[in-house]
Amino acid sequence: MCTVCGCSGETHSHAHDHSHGYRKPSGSKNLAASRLVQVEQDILGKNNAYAADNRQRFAAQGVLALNLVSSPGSGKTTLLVRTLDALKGEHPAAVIEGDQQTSNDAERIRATGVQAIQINTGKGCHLDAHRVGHAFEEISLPDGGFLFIENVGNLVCPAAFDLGEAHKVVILSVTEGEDKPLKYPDMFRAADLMLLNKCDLLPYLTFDVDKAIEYALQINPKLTIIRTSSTTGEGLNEWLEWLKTERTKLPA
Amino acid sequence: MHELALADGILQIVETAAVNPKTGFKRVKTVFIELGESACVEPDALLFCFDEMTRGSVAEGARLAITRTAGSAMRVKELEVVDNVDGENN
Repeated sequence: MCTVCGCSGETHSHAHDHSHGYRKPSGSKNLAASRLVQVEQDILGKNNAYAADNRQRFAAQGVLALNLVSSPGSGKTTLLVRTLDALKGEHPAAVIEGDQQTSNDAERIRATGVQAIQINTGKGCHLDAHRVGHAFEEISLPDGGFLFIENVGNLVCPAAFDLGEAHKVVILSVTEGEDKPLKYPDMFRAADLMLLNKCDLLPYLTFDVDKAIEYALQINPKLTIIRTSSTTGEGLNEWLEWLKTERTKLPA
Repeated sequence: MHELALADGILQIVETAAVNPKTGFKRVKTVFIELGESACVEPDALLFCFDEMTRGSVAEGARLAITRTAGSAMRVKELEVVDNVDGENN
């Protein structure tokens, strides 16, 4: 007899990764001790509660928070530096940097004169809402500013963790494979905007832009896509316009 | 490897229930969870991480029973628990 659900169970696997209805054990001496406790709790409930808090704080300050996600080496930080330079003097901004180790990226951001807080996740593969909330406490961002949260370079795990952002922005560079959206669909599904970066390198590569866009839209038909290059400035204005438009959409 | 963070999330829920006066228990034998098909989680990796994460806790040796559901929800549904360490009540 199956010691888990009480089924007679000779004929099925006892791995129990399927549901066939839990029956409270009865009549077995060995199982009389066990009882069921109803829990009904979201596994990410704690993170989601912190994310909801963050979202409320961002909204109260009229801050547009963006969660920038990509694989390592997509040119996120360089693009962010270009973006901050373009916003400078016109729109306040701050950055939360997530990396496993080093504060190299935060230093690159600070060189632009913008406040940056580095979070080192250690062995962690993603930022979580709790740490982002604490990092935001250290930031003095005037009302109506932009908060860029540069997540750990990883196309998998950050998709599952809400940080309280208004949007996830996924950066895909043309030095990667055009089928990344198919290989890592969760991230492209979670994002609202995709920046196709390093487009200045296209003449030297076999990267198929149309295919990449087709794949991305296949995964997420609502995805907005902008082609960018930090080197030539391609798409930068379009990206800035997107940022400003999204900020006007924040609840007043 | 965010399955490790999820395993930790499950353990925290279990440990909270263990010390809650309404539900308190000594050990958990089975943790029943629902895992959405579109949740970004690999069940095998989660099972592995759960075993590692629960060592030395009230859930050590517990079985993680996963039911796949539609959508992206990840929930701990219920726990099969015992009130003494041997699992034998008198």
